[in-house]
Amino acid sequence: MDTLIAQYTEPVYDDEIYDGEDAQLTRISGPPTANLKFALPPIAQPSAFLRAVTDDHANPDCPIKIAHGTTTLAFRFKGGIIVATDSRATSGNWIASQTVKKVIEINDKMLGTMAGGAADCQFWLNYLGMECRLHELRHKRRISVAAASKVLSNIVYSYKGMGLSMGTMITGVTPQEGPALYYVDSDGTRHQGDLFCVGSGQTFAYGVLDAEYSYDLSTEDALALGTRSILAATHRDAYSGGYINLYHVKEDGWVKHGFTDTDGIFWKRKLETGEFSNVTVDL
Amino acid sequence: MAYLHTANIISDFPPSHHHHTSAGPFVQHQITPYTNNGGTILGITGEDFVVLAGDTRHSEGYSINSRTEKKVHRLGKESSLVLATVGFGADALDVVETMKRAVEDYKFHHNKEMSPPAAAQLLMTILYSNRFFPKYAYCILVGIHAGKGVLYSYDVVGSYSKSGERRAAAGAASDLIVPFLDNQVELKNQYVPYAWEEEIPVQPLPMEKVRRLVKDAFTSATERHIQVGDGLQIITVAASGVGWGVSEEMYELKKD
Amino acid sequence: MKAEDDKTRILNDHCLMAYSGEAGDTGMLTRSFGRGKVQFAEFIQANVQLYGMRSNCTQALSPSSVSSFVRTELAKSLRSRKPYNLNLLIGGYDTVNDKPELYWLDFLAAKDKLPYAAHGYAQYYCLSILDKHHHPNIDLEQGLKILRMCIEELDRRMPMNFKGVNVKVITKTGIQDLEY
Repeated sequence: MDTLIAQYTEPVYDDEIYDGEDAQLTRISGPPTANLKFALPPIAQPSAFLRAVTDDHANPDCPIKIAHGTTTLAFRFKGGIIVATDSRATSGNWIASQTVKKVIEINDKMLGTMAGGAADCQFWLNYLGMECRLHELRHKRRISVAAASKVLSNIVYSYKGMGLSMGTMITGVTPQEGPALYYVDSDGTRHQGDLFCVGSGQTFAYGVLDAEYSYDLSTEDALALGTRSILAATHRDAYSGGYINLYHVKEDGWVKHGFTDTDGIFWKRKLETGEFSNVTVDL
Repeated sequence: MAYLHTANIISDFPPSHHHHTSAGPFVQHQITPYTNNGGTILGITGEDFVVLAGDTRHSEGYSINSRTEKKVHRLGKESSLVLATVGFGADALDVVETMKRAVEDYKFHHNKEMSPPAAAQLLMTILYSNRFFPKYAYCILVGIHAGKGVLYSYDVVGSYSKSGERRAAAGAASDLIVPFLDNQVELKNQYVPYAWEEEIPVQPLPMEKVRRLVKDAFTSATERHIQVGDGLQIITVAASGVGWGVSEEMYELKKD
Repeated sequence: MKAEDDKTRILNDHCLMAYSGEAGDTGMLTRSFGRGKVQFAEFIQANVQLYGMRSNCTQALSPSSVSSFVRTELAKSLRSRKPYNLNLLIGGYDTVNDKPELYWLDFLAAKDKLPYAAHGYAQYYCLSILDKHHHPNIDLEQGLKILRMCIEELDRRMPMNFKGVNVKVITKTGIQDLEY
């Protein structure tokens, strides 16, 4: 029965070129699974068109504003990976939303973060989730974070120059890799690392994170450091703010640690620890 | 089609006489295939209902094309799904038509209505399939899911919140209406009087209150925004109680 | 480190001015400067003293007065034919009120009194560290520790690397050069 189905589902030329095992391999790695057909403007340079209508840096009067500006971070430590983000979406000076979920749950084991174009990140990380599930079905085991991040970087690289905008971190814990963290962006860059901050507030988050980061951090301290680093960025970067979205990724999956208003955290820190001495309050 | 002098596009259209003095067969045209037709849409959910509204003015620049152009559309006769779109009128309608056909196809194939979460994801896929030639249409999609009112709002290339939202506004006067909604629906910065920083808890609003908020939002926006006015179309989708089902109310707005 | 790399000028016994180049260029810790900046610094240096002599004979100007004078000169320069393009930090010790003070001035002659400050790109890397670790009543040792955290972060994350830093401390007893 299986061979019968195979006969009708395999492209005819597959058997002519490869022997059985190779043919199977081709099927495993597979062509793109979804029907990815994008409408294009009927002009010579679609990317120039897109820039003209959406890029408010190149053209401040552009009719379509795409949300930008973010702080996201993720770091590896002995207890897994901490992922933290702010929740603000801006278009120009307008705060489009204060409740954006910038951590995307690719599946119950892996997380991705979202910086740059909201729809780009959402769509392609969702698509990545689908590819990861197909990998599981084909191979009877979970995809490695290295492979998953490479799938994503290969996809966005194939659209290079078309105007995609995303800076994302792919995280997960697998038995073969341990806690794994990759940075992938729409230029096609892909890096493995212990610690990344991405977005307009990245330097502020790096400042706090670098100073106290250690692989041997306790889980409690690591969660607190993630929160504090995002708080630092929301305080200094006007394009970041809203709520702090906090996750802990472990081998048996990720755990959400709340979606907390920065305002409350800020005043708690200030009053309890005396931090933010530049903010003076005369009561 | 408006000729907005804001975008540079290399076009392979036949060159016009105006530009024909330049050498070579290719001429640079300054056009965008979009225009802004104004208008505003607004949606608010309650416990077991959702209200979606839009004004009925259709304008271009300082001219009013129509005072009766509806922006809120049911996606099927038996469906609880309602979609409102605003931005470039042609693109907005195209998105509605595409969704209507998809919802109908779904029913023919599966012999059941498309659920709001499925419709929400479908709308994202439709909008994102135009990622490199975006539909200039801001969308708010509502429906009844598991006895509750649900609402999703989108940017032009399809990003949305899977968990839905309590309220959303889009279009010309969204800058005016969103802060009002933050205050009156999300109860942002509202504290219990005489209590020390005790926030007023957010609760689902009753239908009458929601309808009143919608009318207040639009009458106020009409006062201060030139692209808003004429008429207000309010569609209510209720899962239960009096007025069960989908109902439409028209409300007059100022016509100046 | 060569003496001409020192981007500070002593304005009086308890006031020190640090200056850097174009706004948003490289940050005060890395910016190499042109002649114009030195000229302005030395002009200020001389005139603060002259102004102090003219207006108050018994005592040197307070940090607050010095910063106001400098701001005025910067504002005049801004409205002249060829404005100076430099950002300043003025640190001083107010001997009358027994308090250290820090003033932040930019090339548009904006002035602010702050507990900690930086100019240029250095701000993006250091301010979050200072927000977290600065407290109003830290001692010199703790202050230097925070400074070291900032320098280490700049060394780690700034796109360009700098050759070193000058560290000066202003206390009740005056201005000292510190080995770093």
